[in-house]
Amino acid sequence: MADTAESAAEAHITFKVKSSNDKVHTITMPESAKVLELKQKLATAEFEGVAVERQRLIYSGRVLKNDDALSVYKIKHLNTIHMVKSAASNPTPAPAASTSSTPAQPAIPQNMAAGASAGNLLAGLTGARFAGLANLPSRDMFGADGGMGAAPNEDQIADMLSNPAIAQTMNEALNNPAFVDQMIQSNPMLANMPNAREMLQSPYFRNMMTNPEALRAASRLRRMYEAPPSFPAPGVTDTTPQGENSNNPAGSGAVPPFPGFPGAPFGTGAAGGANPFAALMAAGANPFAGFGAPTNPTPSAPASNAPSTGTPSTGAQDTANNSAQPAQANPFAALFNAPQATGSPAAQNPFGNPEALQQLMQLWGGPGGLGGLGGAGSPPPPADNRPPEERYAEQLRQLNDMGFFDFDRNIAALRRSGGSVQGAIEHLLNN
Amino acid sequence: MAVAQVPRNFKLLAELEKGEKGMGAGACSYGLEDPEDIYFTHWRGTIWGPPHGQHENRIYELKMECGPNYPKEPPTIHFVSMINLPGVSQVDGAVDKNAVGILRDWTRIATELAKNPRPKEDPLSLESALIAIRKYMEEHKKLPQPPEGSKYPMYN
Repeated sequence: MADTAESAAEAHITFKVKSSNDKVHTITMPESAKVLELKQKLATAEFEGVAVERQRLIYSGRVLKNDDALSVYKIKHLNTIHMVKSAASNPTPAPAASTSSTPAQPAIPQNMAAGASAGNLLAGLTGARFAGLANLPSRDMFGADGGMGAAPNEDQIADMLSNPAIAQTMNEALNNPAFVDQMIQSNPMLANMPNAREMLQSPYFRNMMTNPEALRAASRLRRMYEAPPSFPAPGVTDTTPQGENSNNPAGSGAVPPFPGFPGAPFGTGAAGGANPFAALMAAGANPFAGFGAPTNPTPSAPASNAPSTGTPSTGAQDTANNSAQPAQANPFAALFNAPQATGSPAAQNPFGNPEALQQLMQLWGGPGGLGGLGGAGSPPPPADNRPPEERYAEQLRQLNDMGFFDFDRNIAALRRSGGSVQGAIEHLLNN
Repeated sequence: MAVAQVPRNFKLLAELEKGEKGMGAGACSYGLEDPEDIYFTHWRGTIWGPPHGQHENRIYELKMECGPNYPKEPPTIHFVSMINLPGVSQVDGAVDKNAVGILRDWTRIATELAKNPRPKEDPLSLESALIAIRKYMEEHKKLPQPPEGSKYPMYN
């Protein structure tokens, strides 16, 4: 290299230019030529035909500057320069811009943890930079596979709520008007509800969120919904096995109503797809459970139940009656009526409408409901019935890349981790 | 140390060659900060912004440092170009290892690889780190971004 530099005037260099459409040009130019000259050459129809100002050339991890000579970059024989085109509609400032120290636009959140929602009060807690810090719960708390495995059962949640510190945290959160505002804003359903704030701050709601008894009652109800046909609800004589889908996580909203409740106001369809309390449990597995839980409106079952009866209900029939009643006096009426605005015919009764029920469930456990907690506010993905090798194709490829070649074990691990490569690796390494 | 250095430099030499010859995936590029750096410590990288978002048509510059224990330990990576991305310091562009899966698990994967004398592929490299960061950027492609070409003050 030193040799060629000595005779710089004469020295030529041959290199390749690879463009974004994978065309490769082999070009020979004098080493003293400027980058701009190379761009002009590439701009000709013979090569790329891309205007000079739209070209960006990258070699060995750096962007070539127009005014530099090619020799500056010490390009070796037959090495490759990448050419990246910038958008035509969005002409980028010449590389000169890189030397100006333009301050960031004020619109950009300065707090990087803010993620997608700048106003998120929890943002400060969710930044990756807090991972592993002492005053957050350790990963042991999340259970197997870092929380990707089975959710804690309702007793665990109830026990957690019995902890006065957690109950107090939740109460405080609900007392904080800013927090309530954020909850309402982060959730379109609540945002459309005029008296959402009232509801969220009502003692009933508070009770529901913080009272372990209410939760246990709710879980009893849930067990009733998903009880296999061999264990019919009290008073049920017809045990025709048609509700067996109710435990299938891939169950669609079209599952027939639960047997034994002809025309029952609550269909099990959605309950099969996303059991309301499973979602609740998932929220409980979250390190911010104390915050996470109240950010969501009422779970479907206790909503209709606790406030109208005042005591934990023990019978499914009971619920049926309660939820069938017109609910004017019920502070949660608005919640249930909300979907009506969207034109859903069965919206009056969330139990009869899988869609509404699902919506409620999403409010509970969906990452959207948690707002900033999940970072991404996307709704849960639709049910996936593809075979595992197809469904996990991308993850399998990643695992293969990492040196895990046992297909069956990979699939098993991915299943266990719910498709998380992270969790799967953990599992594979621990076994 | 002497034992560890030989594979480190062999590996980095191979990575350098791959980077300079452009044999990689074509979504990033990397090379030595100083081509004469015989210890392969300081590297430069660029990431082509992933499409369909705020990063589209942008080029992000990074610098990477491979310590003496590379590849047992991950490289430390900084953005030179300003970027709004959770887990990237707004002071110096440092990438939080915990934000990007491969960096977080690097040591563990390296240990696993060490048990397997001849892995078919080597998942740990500067390129795979850059690609993982790019993927991570793609996950946050909707975040508003500082003006293109701006750099963290310490690199100006």
